[in-house]
Amino acid sequence: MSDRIAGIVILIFATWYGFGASRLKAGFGSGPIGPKDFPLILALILALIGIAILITGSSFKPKWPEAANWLDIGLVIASFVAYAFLIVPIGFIAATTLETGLVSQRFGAKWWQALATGFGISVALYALFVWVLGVSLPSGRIFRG
Amino acid sequence: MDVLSLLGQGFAVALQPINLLLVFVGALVGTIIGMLPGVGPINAIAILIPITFALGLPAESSIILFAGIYYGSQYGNSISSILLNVPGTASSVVTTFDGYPMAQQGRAGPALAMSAIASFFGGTLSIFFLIFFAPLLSKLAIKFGPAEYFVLMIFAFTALSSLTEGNTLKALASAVFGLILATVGLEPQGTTVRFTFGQLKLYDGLDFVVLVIGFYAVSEVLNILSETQVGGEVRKLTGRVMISMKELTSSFWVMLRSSISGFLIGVMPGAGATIATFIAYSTEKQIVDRENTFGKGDIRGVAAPEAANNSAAVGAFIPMLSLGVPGSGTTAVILATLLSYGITPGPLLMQNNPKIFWGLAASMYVGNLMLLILNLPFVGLFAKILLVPRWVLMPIVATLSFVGVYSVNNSPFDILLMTGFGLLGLIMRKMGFPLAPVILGLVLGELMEVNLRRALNYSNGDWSTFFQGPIVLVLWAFTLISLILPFVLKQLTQRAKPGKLQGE
Amino acid sequence: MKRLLTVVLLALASSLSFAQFTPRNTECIAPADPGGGWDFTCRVPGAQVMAELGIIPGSMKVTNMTGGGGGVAFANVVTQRADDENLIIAASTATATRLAQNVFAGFTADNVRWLGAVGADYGVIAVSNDSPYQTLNELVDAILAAPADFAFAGGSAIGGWDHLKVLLLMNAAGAEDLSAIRYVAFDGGGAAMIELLGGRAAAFTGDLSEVLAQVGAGEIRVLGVLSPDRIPVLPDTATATEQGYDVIGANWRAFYAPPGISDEAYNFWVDAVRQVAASDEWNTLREQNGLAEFALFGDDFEAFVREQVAAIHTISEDLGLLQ
Repeated sequence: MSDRIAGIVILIFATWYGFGASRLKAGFGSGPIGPKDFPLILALILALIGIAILITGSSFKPKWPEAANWLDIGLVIASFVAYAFLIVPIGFIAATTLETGLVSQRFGAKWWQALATGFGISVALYALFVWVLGVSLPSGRIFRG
Repeated sequence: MDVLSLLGQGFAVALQPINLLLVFVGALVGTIIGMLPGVGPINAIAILIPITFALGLPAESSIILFAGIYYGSQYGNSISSILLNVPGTASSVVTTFDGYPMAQQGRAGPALAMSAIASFFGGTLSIFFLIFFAPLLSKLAIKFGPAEYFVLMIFAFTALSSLTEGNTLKALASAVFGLILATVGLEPQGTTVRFTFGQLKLYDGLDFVVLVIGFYAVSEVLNILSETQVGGEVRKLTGRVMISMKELTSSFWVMLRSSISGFLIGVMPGAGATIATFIAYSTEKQIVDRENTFGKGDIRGVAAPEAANNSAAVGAFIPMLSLGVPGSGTTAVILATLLSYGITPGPLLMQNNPKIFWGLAASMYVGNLMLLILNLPFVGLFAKILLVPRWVLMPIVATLSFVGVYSVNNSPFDILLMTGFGLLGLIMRKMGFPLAPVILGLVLGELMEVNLRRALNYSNGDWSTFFQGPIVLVLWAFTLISLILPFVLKQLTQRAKPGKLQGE
Repeated sequence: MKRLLTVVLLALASSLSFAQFTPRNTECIAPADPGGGWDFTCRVPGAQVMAELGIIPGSMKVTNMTGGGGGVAFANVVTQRADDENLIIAASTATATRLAQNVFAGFTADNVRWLGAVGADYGVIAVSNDSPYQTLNELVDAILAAPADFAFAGGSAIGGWDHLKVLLLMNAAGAEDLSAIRYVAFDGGGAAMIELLGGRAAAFTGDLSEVLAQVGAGEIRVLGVLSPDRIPVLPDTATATEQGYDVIGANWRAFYAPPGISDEAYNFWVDAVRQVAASDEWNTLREQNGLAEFALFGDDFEAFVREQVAAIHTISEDLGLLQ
C-alpha cells in the first residue's frame, strides 16, 4: 500500500517539476539544448519510475515509529526550526545551549545533565570554531549595546 | 635531468626542519578539520594565507603547509563517517556505506585503521604517479572535453547498481531525485534561474554540505529517535582494535585498483574525489564482493573509497601545477597562493620553479607517512567515542551539523533547508528509498547537464559527438562492462554455490 | 534649512575626514569562493597590502560569501550591514555586468558606495599555436564568412563578461546576426583554456592574466588585446583598436562599501585604495599577476561605474541578451 502512495507522490512531484521546467525561458545563445530540456527529460524519467512503482507496488511495509516517538521527532524538528530563527538574535552560545539541551534531554538525559551538556558543547565548539578556525558565528544581537 | 636527482633535491627541501614542522602542523590541523562536518580545508587554508605572509614563509613552505592540510583533511573526513554516519564532505559519503555498519557491529577500530592505511596507500602511490607521469597525464587531461566528461558521468552513474539493496526502482527514483536537486539555481550555461522560488540564496544551487548533513546527520538523529526507547543502549566495542593481517591482505588489490582509478579521475579538473569514491566502490563491489557483504560492514568497502579519495586529492594537483587549472576547490586556493607569490603555475613550472614541484611531491610523501603514524595510535581512542552515552553524542552530532551548515554561507536559511532534508531523509528511509543515490545524483547532475550542453554546443547539436574518439569509446566500454558484469558474476556464483541463501 | 545644515555638516566632515575615522576589526568580503579574482582582490591588494602599508591596524579579515555571482554578498551588505564602516567588498567588471543585466534581484549600482579600482585585467582573444590565424583580422573575417564553424570558449556564463567581449568585437566587425556567433561557457578561464589546448575551441576569450603562463610556454598565441594601448608584457601583440575594431574590455578590480557609512569612513577607504594603487608593494604584485594600471577613485570611480552599468545594459539589450 505504502509503495502505491509513494508512486503517486513521485508522479505528482514529477508533473509539478516538469510543468515548472516547461515554463522556463531559454536565454540568448544557449545552444541546441536549452535550460529547460535537461529538467524535462528528468521529469519524464521520474514520472515513468513513479508509474512503475505504482503498478508493481510491492508488499513493502514501512516500520513507522510509535506515537511517542513521533512526538519526539516533531519536537526536535520544531526546535531545529526555532534554532534557525534564534541563532542570529540571541547568538550561537545561547541558542545552541537551549537546542542541544533539548536534544540531550530527548535522548534521556536529566534536566541538569542536559543543560550542562548543552552549555559545555556550545562553549567548546564556539571556542574551536571562532577562535581556532576563524569561522564567524553570531554572538547575539540582543547582547550588543 | 633525471627524476631521481630532482626528487633528491625535493627531499632536501621537504626535510628542512621548518618544512617538516609545517607538514606536521598542516597534517594535524587538516585531520581535525576533516573530522568536522561543513568546515573544509578551504576555510583553514584561507585563514592561514595571511599568517604565512606575515611569517615571511617562502612559497614552497606555504604550499607544503597547505597541501598538508588538504590531504590531512582527507584522513580526518572518514572518522565521523565511520563513527557517526556523518560524512563531513561529499567525498566521504561512500565511506559510510561499510564504515558505519562496521562501527555498529563493534568493529570501529579495524574500520578506522583500514581507513588510515588505505588513505596512506592511495596517497603515497599516487605521489609516484604524480612524479613520473605528470607531464603525460596533463596531456590526457587536455584531451578530456565535454563529450568525455558526459560519458564519464554516465559511467559513474552505473555505480548506482551497487547502491541498490532491494528495490531497483526505488534506488532509481532516489538517483533521479538527486539529479533534479542539482538543477536548482542559476543554470550552468546561461542566465536562466531555475526552481529558486525567488530565493537569492538558492541562485548557486543547493549546497552540498547542507544536503549531505541534512540527509545523513539530521535524518540519522531523527531515525534513532524513531526507533529506540528514550534512553537507548550504549554501543559496545568488541574484539580487536587493530586491523588483522588477513583484513589487510584481502584489501591489497582493492586499494591498488581504487588508487589507480581514483588518481586518474582526480587528474580530470572538475570531476573530483567524490565521483572517484563512487566508481571505486561500485567497481570493487562488482569484482570482489562474492558473498554480497558490501554495505553490511565489509572492510574492503572502506578501503576502496578511502584509497580512491586520497589518490584523487593528489591527482587534482596535476592540472593545477602543470596547466594552471585547479582540479578542486582547495587546489584553487593553493593556486591563488602561488599567484600571490608571483609564481605562475603552468607548463613551465617544473622548469622555472623545480623547488615548488619536487619539494611538494617529496613533502607529500613525508606528510602521508606522518599522518599514518599520527592516525593509527589514535584509532582506539577515536573508537571509544562510541562509548559516550547517546544523550551526549547526539547533541554533539546536532551541534556539529548546525555549525557546519551555518558556516557555509552564514545563513540561518540553510539550517531550515537542512532540517527539511533531514525530515525528507527520514521519510525516505522509512519508505525504503535509499539515500546514497540522491547524493550520487546531486554530484553528477550538474556535470552531466553542463557537459551535455557544452558537447552539443560544440557539435552544433550532433549527438554522434558522444561516440567519437578513443577516450569516449573506452568509457562506453567500461559502462557496458559495469552493467553486464554483475549479471555474469551472479550467474557464475549461483552455479558455483547452488541453493545458497543470501543474508538478511 | 535642513538641507543647508546637511551641506555644512558635509563640508565640515570632509575637511576633518582623516582625523575622524579610525578603522577597527576591518573586514573584506570576497563574494565568491577562495581562489578566484574577487578573493585575490580582498586578500592581496586588500588585506595584504593595506596591512603592509600600515593603513589599517592589525590585519584585515577576509570573508568568502558565495552566491548568486556576487548577488548574495551584495544583498547582504545592502540589507544587513548597511552601516558597517569597517567593511569593504571586492568587485569587478563582472559585478557591473550583473548589475546591468539586473541579475541581483532589483539591486542597482546606486545601492552601494564605490571606493576605487586598483588595477584592470584587459580582455584578450587567443588561439592555439597551431591555428592558421595570425591576426585578429584573419580570425574575424573567417568567422564572418562561416560563423557555424567557430566556437569560442570562455570562462563566464552566456551573457557574462567573457561572452560580452566576443559579442562586442563581432559587433564592431559588422557581424549581422550576433546569435550565430557560437560561445561555449566554462567554469573560469583555466577550464576554457584547456578547450583551446585540446583543440575543441577555435578561439579563447578571457583576460590577460589568464593567458600569460600558456603564452610563456609557447602553447597559445594572443591575436588581440582589448586595451587602449599595447601591454608591456606583450609588446608585439597589437590591440584590437589597432586592427580596426573599436573595442576596449577592461575587467577592473575594485572595492565598494556599504551604503550607510559616514563620509569620514568613505573618504578613509577611498584614500586607502588610492594609497594601495600608488604603492610599490602592490604595483609589483599587480604586474606579476598580469594586471594593468587602472586608477579611478571616489566620485570619479562612482561616475565611471554608473556609466559602465548603463552602457552594458544598453549593449545587452541591443544584443538580445535581455528580454
